[in-house]
Amino acid sequence: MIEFAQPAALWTSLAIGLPLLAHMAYRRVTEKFYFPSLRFIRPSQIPRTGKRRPSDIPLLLLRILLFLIISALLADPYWKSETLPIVENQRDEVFLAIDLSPSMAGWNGLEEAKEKALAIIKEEKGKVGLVTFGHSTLEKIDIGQENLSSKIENLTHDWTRGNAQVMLDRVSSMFTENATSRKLIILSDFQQSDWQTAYTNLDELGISYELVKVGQTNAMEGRRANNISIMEARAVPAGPDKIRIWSVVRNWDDVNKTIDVELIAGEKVKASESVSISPLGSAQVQFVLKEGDFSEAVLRLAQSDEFGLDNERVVWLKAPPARRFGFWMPELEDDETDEEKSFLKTAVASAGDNGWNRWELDQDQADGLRLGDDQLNVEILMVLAVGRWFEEEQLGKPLKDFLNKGGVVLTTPGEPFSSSVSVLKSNDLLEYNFVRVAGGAARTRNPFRIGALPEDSKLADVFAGKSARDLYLSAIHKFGILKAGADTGNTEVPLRDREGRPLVLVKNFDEGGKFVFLPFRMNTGWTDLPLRNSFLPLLMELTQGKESQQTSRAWPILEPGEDLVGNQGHFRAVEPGAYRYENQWIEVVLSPAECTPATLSLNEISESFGGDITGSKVHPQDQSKSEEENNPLWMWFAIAAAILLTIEMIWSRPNSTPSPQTDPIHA
Amino acid sequence: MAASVDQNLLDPAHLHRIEDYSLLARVVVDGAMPGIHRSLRQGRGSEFYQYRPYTRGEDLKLVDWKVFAKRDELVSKTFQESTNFTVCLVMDVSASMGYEGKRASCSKLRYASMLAACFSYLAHRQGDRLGLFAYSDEVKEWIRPRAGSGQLNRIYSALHGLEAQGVNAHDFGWDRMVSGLPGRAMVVFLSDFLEAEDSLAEKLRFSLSSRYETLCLQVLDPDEIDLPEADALRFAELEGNREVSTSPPAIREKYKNEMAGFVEDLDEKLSAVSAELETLITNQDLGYALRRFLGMRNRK
Repeated sequence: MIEFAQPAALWTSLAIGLPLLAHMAYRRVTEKFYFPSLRFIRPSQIPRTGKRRPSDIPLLLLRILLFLIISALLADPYWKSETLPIVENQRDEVFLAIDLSPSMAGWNGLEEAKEKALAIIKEEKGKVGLVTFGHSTLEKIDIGQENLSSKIENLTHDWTRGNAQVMLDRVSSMFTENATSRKLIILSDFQQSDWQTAYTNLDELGISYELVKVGQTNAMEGRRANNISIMEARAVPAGPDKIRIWSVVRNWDDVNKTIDVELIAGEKVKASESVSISPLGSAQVQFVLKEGDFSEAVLRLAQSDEFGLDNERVVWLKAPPARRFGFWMPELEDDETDEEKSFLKTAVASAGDNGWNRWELDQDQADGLRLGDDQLNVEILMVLAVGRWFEEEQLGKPLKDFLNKGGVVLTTPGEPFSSSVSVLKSNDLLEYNFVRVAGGAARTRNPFRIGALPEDSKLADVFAGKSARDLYLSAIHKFGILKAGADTGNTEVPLRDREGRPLVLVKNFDEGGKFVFLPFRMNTGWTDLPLRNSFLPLLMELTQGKESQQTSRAWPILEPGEDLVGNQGHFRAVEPGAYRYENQWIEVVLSPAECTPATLSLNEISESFGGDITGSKVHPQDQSKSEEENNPLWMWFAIAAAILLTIEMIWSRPNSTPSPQTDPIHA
Repeated sequence: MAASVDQNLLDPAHLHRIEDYSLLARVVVDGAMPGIHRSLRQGRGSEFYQYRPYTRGEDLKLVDWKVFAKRDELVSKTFQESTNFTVCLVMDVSASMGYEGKRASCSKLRYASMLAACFSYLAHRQGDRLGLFAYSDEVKEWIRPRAGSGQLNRIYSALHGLEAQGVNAHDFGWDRMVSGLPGRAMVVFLSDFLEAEDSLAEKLRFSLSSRYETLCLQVLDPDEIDLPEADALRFAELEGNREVSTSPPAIREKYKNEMAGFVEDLDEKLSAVSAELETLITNQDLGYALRRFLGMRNRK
């Protein structure tokens, strides 16, 4: 049914008398009557005798209707749904929103929130519901539940980083449609990291709110005092058979603090160190342990403070697994192949850093792969002296399976060169044709050189200056000349000689796999490249696989609430600690953002809510303005008024009179 | 019945529907008023008129021998004889002539044009030379007097093109017209002569000469005689910007008296210069004006 938001404006409907009067008194003397000469026409008084009865009834009715619509328009009409709430079920509704973010565990925040919540429940008597919120979880207990008090008493803090927006986004759906007033009481420490991005306009939603700040022990200017946090902890190798446990401790107070940091391994305090930390500053603490004695250790602050969750940190002491590589070679090894293997093994093994990022030869894994075991974890497979043996052992299929799973294969040719090419072509690994072996007959005096790298190539980014010079001075005495076939597919040529002939072919596979073919052997008979400084970076650039396929160089560190996807599922981090999942060693640490003692003022929070700290009760008529229940009709009335006005103007326009100046009379 | 038909043929309410002035003139002159003009003077004029059977005794120069060769029949050609008399029609086409009241069947300009067409036809039938001068604040049309049917068509065509437009400037128009008048002529003025009584006598002084006949036909709308029927009107001048709001019933009597005085004054001043004035109302039939025209023409 139609209702009006401003019914007083309906008094303007009395103005319908205006068109009636105008209609009765109207005299059409505004029209011009063109006449040949006004010489003998004198002005006279025009009789003002109005009409006793309206003559143009439809026009009069139209004008009255127009005035009625305009007055209704001024009264702001809206359509109210027939499904109005039953008056008997209407009630005031109050919801308590209790912040359970980890920061509430400090400064007695959660306990204070519980006390205040229980006091409010006692005061409001059965009109209160409860909602608790953390990062993404929202638990709601509807109004009228009897066990509300016991639920509140048993509340514990969450470990996931807080996010108040989750609660604010759903706040309007908490209240029922029958509510005569809606009130939200938020009990929180309003910690900066949890609340700084929260925003909603509760006034627009018709919800009044009250902010109750808890956990403000020793608070000054929005900062809470007496908190020291272990912000970071890592275990790294420290020379032979030793591990360094390194940590960063932060003092959040504006006074100097001295604190003892303990290292606990095997449930015993293995070491302790006292550090003095400047105001709002950090200090590093390091401990050294023998490698292999313990798999995990705990770093702990000896003195307690207001926020205890960040006083302890668990670290794994085990090294992450090395990245593995292996070889496939013919059964009957020759000197050239041995030399080649030796060069490549030394180069790849030395490609890691001095830390826990290592490359390790794992020939067993490579042999397992050769036998068709596809569960093995080899990142680079080097197939040396490809020839008939490769085809006889039917290694094409396992190799392609490996490539399709994202593996990287480095291949060198065997003797004769043409045989290697034909084997690779028959296995769809190479789309190039063999031409001849350059420099094969005798060692030439002038070796072949690597041509200039194109400016837009990836290798040009790596090799610049001295390293590029070293690469360009590499001498290649012998190499197989290959010519591109009809369809080279996904094959790239990152390196060519000075005459543009391919020196490296790289075929890319969809899953990130990479097949690298060098048309020369990695020994001094063919090239001096393995002896040069540029060999190792060139080799690692050519064999760099897809990012996601590489084994991570450190153990994953998660925050509570985050997931780690494994091969057979995913690991959900819940509480801080050290965990094992599949072949991963995982550290779960408290979000550093929760450690900060800074909080937002109530004024800042209320600005984010678009109103005062304590909103007034929402009146039923205000509530009826919400768009969900009422459809405003002013636009339809405006359209109707415009149409009627147009009709009225057309209808009542003066009859056109001849204007001789513009429309001459024809004879 | 015949009389009724004749009267209808002269009624402007019927005539104004005929677009073609040639047809209109023939309908009026030949259809409604047969015999009112003198028969055509046939003789040795320059313009071929018709063939007729040769009668013994006629000059053999008149026989058309080409026709005899084709049809073996003697026919003689007759020619229209010129009278050496000029009829000059002077039309006011200012904006005020475009007025058409509710009681009139056509505008004043249309009424004047119908009369001019009929006069032209009558004059042509009598072998007179014929001219047309139309003006408002500038010369709109000036067809110098000539004889012949081609001239008649030119005048009909010019009448078609006339439009009531501009402010009347009688002094200017008459000066231009008088300077082009030939000797021995009949000048017919068709105008409402509004605001013209003061300068009229001076400008028509040429009428005093015995060589000229001047007929002033004042064309008025019935509304101009006794004002339109309405309680109140906001009058606006057709040829100016003046406006007057008034109640016609309140001023009607005074207006009629002043209008009659104006016409009387005009008549007196024209009589003083030997010009004759006739006032025609646009719902009045054309017969009276035609007779008046012929009466004056045949006096010569």
